[in-house]
Amino acid sequence: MLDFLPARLYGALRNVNLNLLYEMRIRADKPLSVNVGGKFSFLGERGMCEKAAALCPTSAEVEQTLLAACGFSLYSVENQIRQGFVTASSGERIGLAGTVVYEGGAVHTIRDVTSLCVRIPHEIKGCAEEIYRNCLADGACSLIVLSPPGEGKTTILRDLCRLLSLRTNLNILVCDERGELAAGDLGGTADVIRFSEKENAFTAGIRAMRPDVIVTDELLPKDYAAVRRATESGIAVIASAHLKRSEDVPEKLFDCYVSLDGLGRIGTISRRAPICG
Amino acid sequence: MWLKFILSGLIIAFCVALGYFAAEKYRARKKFFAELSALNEAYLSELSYAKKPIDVFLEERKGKGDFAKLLQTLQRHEAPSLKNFHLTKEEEADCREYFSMLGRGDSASQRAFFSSKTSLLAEKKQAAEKESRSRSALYLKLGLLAGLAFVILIV
Repeated sequence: MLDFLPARLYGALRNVNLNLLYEMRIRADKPLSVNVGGKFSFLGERGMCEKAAALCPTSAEVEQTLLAACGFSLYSVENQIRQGFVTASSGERIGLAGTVVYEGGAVHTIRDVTSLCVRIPHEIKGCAEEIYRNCLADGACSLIVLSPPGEGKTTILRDLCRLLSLRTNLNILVCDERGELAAGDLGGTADVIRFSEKENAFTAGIRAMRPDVIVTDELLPKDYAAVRRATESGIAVIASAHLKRSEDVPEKLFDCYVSLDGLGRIGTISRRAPICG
Repeated sequence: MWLKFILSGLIIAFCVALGYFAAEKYRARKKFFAELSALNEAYLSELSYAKKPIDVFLEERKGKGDFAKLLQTLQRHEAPSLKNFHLTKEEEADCREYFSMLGRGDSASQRAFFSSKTSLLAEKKQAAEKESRSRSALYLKLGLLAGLAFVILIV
């Protein structure tokens, strides 16, 4: 985990509880900050500190971090870079900010990367137990987990997938567009399609893998057509979206709507009539 | 009499062996350019198809010998040592540039760079083969002649 960090930045994490580390903000020539247990603070050579004592990563360290996270193989992650992120070997998702280069009207690459947002995946077994009990205990149904970014949707989806696999043995297809979802135990009956757009993954996956349930992360408005096709085919879809309220979900295709209330806290669980199960 | 024959044989064998070892650097160059050329071809095909990360690609090309050690150095992202391959300074600089470019760019720019190296490497490989062939034969013959000369002078 985080082995792509330059020695100086990695060394600074020695005094940080990695189980509670959710995010690192690496900005060129600006203080290094980390999100530990849901709270941001600055990171110095000896752990958490005041802003003035924080480490300031150099431009070279930012570049080195990105290269190492790509496995020194930019060509193998160029599609991810075009979308503004790369996923490192242990599922750490690294968001990029820099100069976007266009070619032929489409994003060609991002150069002069100055900021990295490293999100560290966590596996919290049992964190989705309440949702499972409320929505899936009587059988698989379509469900969406809603929250703003960084509140644990992916961790909850991963655990839901594991619980569903463990307790029902249903065939689950995991469409992991960003390589984050599969960074942990998904259960013995889960098949994973990595780094494919949802449209392709749903179409090919439904035809080729004949799933009972599809689990996917971060639905965008353009993805709802694929979800509709899946639910109309009788396949339950378990997904997440960057939304706060169930009323904001563009298409009401789900049986259960779960809103998170802060980091990992389950807020409301609402159901669409007829109630699932 | 028999002792003279045995001693003559040993001197000739020794001189021929010296000739063989003297040509070793040309064989090392030939092997290096053949393996580098093969690596280039394999990398270009990797860029066009599976696009595996460079570490995985290098791991799959593990073998024996100095070139395999060089690939291991690249896997560790360290500067490779080229001293065992008897390259000229110019060739060494070219090779360092070549290795430093592995993985540094999108597939289009990587394909463009490494494709441009294909013909150069093929030329180098051919020249090194030719040189190795001619030098090996020459040094063996020189060794044999030197052995015979020693035999005449000493024995």
